[in-house]
Amino acid sequence: MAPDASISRAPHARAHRHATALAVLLAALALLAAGGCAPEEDELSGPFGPGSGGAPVAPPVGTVQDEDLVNSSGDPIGQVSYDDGYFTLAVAPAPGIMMTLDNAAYVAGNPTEGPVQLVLVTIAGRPDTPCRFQAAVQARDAGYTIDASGDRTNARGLEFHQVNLHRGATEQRFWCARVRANTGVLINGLSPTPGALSYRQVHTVLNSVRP
Amino acid sequence: MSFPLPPRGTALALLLAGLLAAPCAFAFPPERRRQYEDRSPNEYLVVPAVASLPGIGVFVGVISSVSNIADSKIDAAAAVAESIDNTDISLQALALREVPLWRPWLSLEYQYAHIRLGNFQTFLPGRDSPNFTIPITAEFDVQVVRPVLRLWERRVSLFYTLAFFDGFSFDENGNEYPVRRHSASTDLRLDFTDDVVNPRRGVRFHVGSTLNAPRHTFLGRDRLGDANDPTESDVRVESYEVSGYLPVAEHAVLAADLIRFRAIGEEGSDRVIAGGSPPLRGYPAGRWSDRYGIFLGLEGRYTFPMFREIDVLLAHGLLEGIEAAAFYEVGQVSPREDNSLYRDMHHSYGMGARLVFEAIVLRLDLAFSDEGPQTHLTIDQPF
Repeated sequence: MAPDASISRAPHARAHRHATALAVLLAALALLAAGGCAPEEDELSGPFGPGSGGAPVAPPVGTVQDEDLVNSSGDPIGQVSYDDGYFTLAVAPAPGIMMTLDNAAYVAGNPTEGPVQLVLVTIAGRPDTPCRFQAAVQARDAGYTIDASGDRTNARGLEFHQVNLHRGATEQRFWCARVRANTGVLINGLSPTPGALSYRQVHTVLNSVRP
Repeated sequence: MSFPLPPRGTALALLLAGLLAAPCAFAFPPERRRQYEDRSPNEYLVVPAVASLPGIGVFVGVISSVSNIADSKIDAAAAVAESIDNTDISLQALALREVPLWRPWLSLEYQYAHIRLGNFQTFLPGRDSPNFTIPITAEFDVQVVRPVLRLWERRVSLFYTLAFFDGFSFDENGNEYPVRRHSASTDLRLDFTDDVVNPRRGVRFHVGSTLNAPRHTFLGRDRLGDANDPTESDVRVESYEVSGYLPVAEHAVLAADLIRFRAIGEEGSDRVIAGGSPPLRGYPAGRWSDRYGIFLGLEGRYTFPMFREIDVLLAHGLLEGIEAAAFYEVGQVSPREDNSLYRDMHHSYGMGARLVFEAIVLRLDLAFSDEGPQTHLTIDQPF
């Protein structure tokens, strides 16, 4: 094969200098490579804890109710508990939704409680995928800002992935856990009151999720 | 405001402009510096490397390539890699190219890859996609068969690509479901440059389109009837690309690349239909995708000529030169085909170094954008 006539063969020494310089450049770029794909740092970690603000949860205001968490076939995979003095339950209120918990105390007219809604959905596979997917959709389509994410644990040792978002004063959080085998639950928390998703009655629900 | 030209019109206008402008700069079409068919036999490169592919991961492994095996004209490449970052990816891939069929102008390519994505980080499609990754776990096999028709010293090439994917994917809630399906596409490439591997002058045109794929071939049989499969759609993707190469000094080349793509079908869907992703090197692969997209890249390349025979344990061949490059790129995506494609463009810039062998280019690029740096260590020129 005939090499390009426009590229003359450089003297050996000159080519060697060029090669050395480029090798140094190559090495420098390779060293910088490690920073190119640096993994994201999770900001949230540790146990949920009892929560802060809201109303006292012990003793219960109403009766503590246990509800089955179910997979897409309707088979139980675990349980969640709530105080019916704070929350009202709607089972399968819409296609694809397992249940919703609405803050009954607020509905009853106590504005200091802050309106909170928790929507529970069955998920399959690794829990952080749907959690982050839903958060990204909210950021892309609904103007939310993603504030923080990370892995937390509830009082029963179950690991959750959590993503916090906000739009103005409205806060939204996604908590996702694998409860049994390859299935789990996504809990979508929504409140227009800043800080209400950290209330003790909300954390009591999160801490109650168990296989 | 409507877009002044539809993509097909744009492509034709670009083609016409390129053809008209080309003779002003040089004889058109330029003579080949060399014929690809004349490449030396058994030129090989084995690179035990840390390879960085933005948006995919940082790998340690071996990339190997051998061209014109035993003067059979067949090229082969293989890669074995494991990620060393948090993406937990393993890859085994094999590719055979230039396998001659019963006519010299007809050849075949075959690729096989087994890929396990332990913690693959991807992005949501859409113009307003947040800089927030979504982790995916998957394991799948991909086979690609591609007959290629090449005419006029490879200046005209027509490809038909048939691929078979066997693995699983995710629905809009991130839930896994199994996928086994074919995909097909066709590509027409016009290459009026002086070299196939590392052009210094001339223009290239590429028009590609996805096609309806068969359901059952020798590669496998589609899994049918899964209503949850969002990939079961009638969307067709078209892409248009023109690349130009202009020698500006004895060893310096200015290269430019313009890409437009679009997805056709399901216009009323709530889903974001991705027609492609601009190959902006300063962002992870697939960072920006939507129904319509545009990309313009400019790159200056300076070659330090070497012409040195390399014959060591891991490499054999003619190292023609070492190349330094600097580049600047802009791109954008949009759900609409209007001037929003040209608003709030994403910018990317950087520099790179390449080892230019007779039949292969080993490329290392460092690119920057408003979302940080990205490093590419891979094979072939970007355009």
